[in-house]
Amino acid sequence: MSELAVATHGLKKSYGSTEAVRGVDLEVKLGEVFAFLGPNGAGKTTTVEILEGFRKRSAGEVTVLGVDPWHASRKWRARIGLVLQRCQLVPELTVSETLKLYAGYYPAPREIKETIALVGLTEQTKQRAGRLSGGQQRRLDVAIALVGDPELIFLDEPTTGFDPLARRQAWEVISNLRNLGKTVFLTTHYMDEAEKLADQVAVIAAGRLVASGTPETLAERDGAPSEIGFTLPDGVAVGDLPGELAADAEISEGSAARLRVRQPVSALHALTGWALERGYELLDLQVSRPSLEDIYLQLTREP
Amino acid sequence: MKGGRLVLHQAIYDLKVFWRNPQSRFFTVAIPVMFLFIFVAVFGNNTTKVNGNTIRNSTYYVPFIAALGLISAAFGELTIAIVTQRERGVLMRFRAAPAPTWTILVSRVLLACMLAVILVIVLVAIGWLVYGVKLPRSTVPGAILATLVGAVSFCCLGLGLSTFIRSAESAPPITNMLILPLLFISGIFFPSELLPKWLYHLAGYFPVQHLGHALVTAFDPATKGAGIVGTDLLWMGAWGVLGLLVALRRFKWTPRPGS
Repeated sequence: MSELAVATHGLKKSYGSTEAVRGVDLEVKLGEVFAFLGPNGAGKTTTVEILEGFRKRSAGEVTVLGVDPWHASRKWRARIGLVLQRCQLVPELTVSETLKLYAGYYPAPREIKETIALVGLTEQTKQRAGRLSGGQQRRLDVAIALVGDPELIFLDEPTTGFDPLARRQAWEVISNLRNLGKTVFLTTHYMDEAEKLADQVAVIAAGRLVASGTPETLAERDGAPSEIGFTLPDGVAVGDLPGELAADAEISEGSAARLRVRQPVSALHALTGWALERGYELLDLQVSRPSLEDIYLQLTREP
Repeated sequence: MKGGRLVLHQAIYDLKVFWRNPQSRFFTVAIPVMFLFIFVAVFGNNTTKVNGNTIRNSTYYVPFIAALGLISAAFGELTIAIVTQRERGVLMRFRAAPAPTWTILVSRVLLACMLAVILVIVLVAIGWLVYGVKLPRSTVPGAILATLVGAVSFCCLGLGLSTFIRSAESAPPITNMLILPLLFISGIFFPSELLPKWLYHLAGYFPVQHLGHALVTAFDPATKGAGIVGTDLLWMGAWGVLGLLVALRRFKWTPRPGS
């Protein structure tokens, strides 16, 4: 018994002469929400489709719930749920009919009513899938993934194209899955989504992993310089700042100053002490850590 | 046994989907019924020649329009449904479920065959009740055999054709494009007697004419014996086998990339 839901080692996939995935190592623990980040065309969907058993890898090792997905049995399939990027619903069936249809394929399905409630579609139970909004359709999609009561759920870009409200609702559904103890493998190109939902994050760019870790520590984000921003008082130049700060300062847009510092507490102390001493007001003063988005953009920038 | 239950489970939902789709209802059910009324009303009192015997046009149109109904259910409806579900990713998603994959296709084919048989029965019943066109008791086996072989063969052809159509939008026009000319040259809309000889012979290479001919033979009061036309059944069966072979070779569960 391993406690890994997904493990890959040196996973590769080529289409003809193009290498879509070039040696990816992943470890997803049981019960965690794992976010697989990357720009379009980075190899996310290819990787996920290999994990789901839809595609054959070119090289490397893959186990999903302890089994090689390419040779997986129907029993294994019953333990996996998935929301595919390219999958649509049957518009003529209602929400509950759709779920009853899929439930019929599984040995031990979840209760239909409860599954509908879990994705927040109770009011739409009798509505046909074709008449649901985009966000509701996607949630019904998630419900289909859940109806077989799987242990591991793959969600391929579950919120792409959503309006902010629909995204919030989808996030709530995914949080619910965590509470049920499910393992969730999520692909996305939204940083805030990964930050909000994931225990672990891995970033793929051009077929290779470029970083992995928790959202807090990704790419040493915790050790990266913080930024102190403020408006320089009238008549004060960067050179007038205390010596140790002036070296780190840069000016953008007129008098807006930004300091990139490794030790924000002592730097802030020096800065405010200096301002108090001279009776300056520091307008728009703020301290910020690099956002996950900054890190992501750095990591996935084309070389 | 378990597979059989799954097929039934699936078929019930497939039937719901069929019935709730207005296009399916119109093209598959309403059109053949409408055509039967129109053609018999306009040409019913004339006579035409089949197998050298003179029969009333109404006796001619009932089996031929029944053939049209069978083809639209077994071939047209099935092809369009499979292409649509494949391109929407529904087939792919089904494949992710732990059910045996053959059940979804068997269920589809079963439903199409059932619809085809029901349509034939309805059209024949209208012909009998409204126009007094009777199927002689002696040739009932011929009519049943032609209907069953026709339904299965046209389903197989539909499975085969579905592998060549690349998008849900193009499924109805492509299916119609293939079937309409065949309907015309096979004598579905006007008696085959009126067709130029070469066109009639040309149509003989395709399965539509054979279905019509097998059925009309069963309806012809002068037909002796059980009304089974072996050559027609063979022609249809051969086309069915061809369709099945193509389907087995080319069938895909996943939508075309980029669609």
